[in-house]
Amino acid sequence: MKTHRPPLASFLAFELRRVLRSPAILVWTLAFPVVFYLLNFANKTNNRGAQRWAGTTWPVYFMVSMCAWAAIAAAVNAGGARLAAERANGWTRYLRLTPLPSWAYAAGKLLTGAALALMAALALALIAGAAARPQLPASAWAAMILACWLGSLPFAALGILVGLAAGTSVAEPAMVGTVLVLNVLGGLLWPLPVFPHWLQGIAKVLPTYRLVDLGRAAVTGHALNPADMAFLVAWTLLFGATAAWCYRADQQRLIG
Amino acid sequence: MPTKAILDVQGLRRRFGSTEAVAGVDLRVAAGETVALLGPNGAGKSTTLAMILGLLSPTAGQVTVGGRAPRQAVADGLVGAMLQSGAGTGLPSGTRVGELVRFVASLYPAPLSPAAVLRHAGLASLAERKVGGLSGGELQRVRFALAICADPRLLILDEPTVGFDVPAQRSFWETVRAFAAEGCAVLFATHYLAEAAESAGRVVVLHQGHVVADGTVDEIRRTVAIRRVRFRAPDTDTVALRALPAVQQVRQADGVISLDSTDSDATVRGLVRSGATFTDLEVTGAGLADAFLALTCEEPA
Repeated sequence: MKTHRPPLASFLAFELRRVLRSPAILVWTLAFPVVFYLLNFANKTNNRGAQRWAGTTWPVYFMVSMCAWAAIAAAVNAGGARLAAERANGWTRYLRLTPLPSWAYAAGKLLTGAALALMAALALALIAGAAARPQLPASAWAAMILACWLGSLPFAALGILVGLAAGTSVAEPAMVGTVLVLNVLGGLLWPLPVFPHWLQGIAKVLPTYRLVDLGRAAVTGHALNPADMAFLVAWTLLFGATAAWCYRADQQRLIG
Repeated sequence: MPTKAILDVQGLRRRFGSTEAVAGVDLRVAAGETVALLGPNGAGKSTTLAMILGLLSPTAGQVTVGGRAPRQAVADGLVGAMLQSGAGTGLPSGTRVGELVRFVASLYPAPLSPAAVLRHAGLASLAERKVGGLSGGELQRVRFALAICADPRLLILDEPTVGFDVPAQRSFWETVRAFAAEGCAVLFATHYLAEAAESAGRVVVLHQGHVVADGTVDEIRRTVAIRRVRFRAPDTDTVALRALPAVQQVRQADGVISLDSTDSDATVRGLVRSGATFTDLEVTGAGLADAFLALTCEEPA
């Protein structure tokens, strides 16, 4: 027998093996941002050479948007339909009959989402870089990937929240719909100025806008906006606390 | 109790809104003992088991497993459980049997080796199979395997063979017995009388949140003391029979009258005094099935 591993390490390894075994998750996650990037980075109406996209060129600007998109779409797989199914069939409850603490369960799911987000951000940066060949220093690449990765944490929490709150049949559409709305409103497809003024006000509160804003600052070497980080932390806490509340309510319901 | 108790439940109560699902349960299970918790749906079996496992906190009373609080006993690997799964498999999709067992075993401080778990559960040849492709009986073996990963001192099984045919039920219990023979106590809930009688040395009957009988099948039969008085009678007045002393229930089929009585002597004396004509009188024990009905039916009409 090997030495006893901490339960969190066992759980994380188990969960990672599960998601990596079905690469379909990652492929589907990447399909939209990759295809959309390849179709649009050379768009002439966007005047790709001009440095007028948040202080950088359109191909770089749009790469940050799609990198954020990829990270977000990957991170929500921390929960979503898979978690809803595990909850419905009793696996979540079974784990409570093992020494795995609830916090380690939550942390394992979050970290799985974070690992997927990192892989997705890396993959998108690689493909976009190969296609558009933007001239960027290595530090800018690293900063963009890091920003998209860490900024996707609230979305891992959101995925867990949806997996806990929604039934098995609605978890997937609810997740896809929520991400789509948040991404579009957050300015990932069209830059914010195309929205009416009132909508821009709403957009600036959203975690998607804050994530992509952070990514743009990171890639251009501008000072990071502390408000971006504050909003992302706040959304993580909000989603996390709501998920914890759902988890507790769910445990009582499963038994009663 | 002959030996030290692995499970000690005292004055356990649980209220959900206005209904008291568990209304004062006392239960001790000795090390190595196999006990059936018998009762109809809604008797409080699952709620009792959930409190024993620390999934649910009692409104009143206390539970200790191996002298520890339920959550501590779970963390220490003293207790393993197989609860009723909902619609699906109860297992995460896409995983392999051996992988699941290795993962669950790795959570415990002093687990059985995964190979031993698979052997005990009769799954050695299925280790590389994905859980999605298993039959109902095989899935139940996987759930059993996960329950014994901890090398527990107490196994909790909540209606483990519900929906099984008789051969699958037998084969499942052979597996449980073989494992329990190594010194593990088993407490299982069931509403199958035959399962309780065949698989447990001791039966605890739960009704509306109360323990209404506790003992061997024979003891319960004697405690209840329901006897069946049967005879043939050409023309009968069931209303008059119902009025005989100690009669609980009257049944009539093909000219054979069957009376359930709490005092068969008094019933027979009353029958003779009534002047009714009858033949082929016999008095028998009612068996656990009827004892169970007498225990768990509402007041007979």
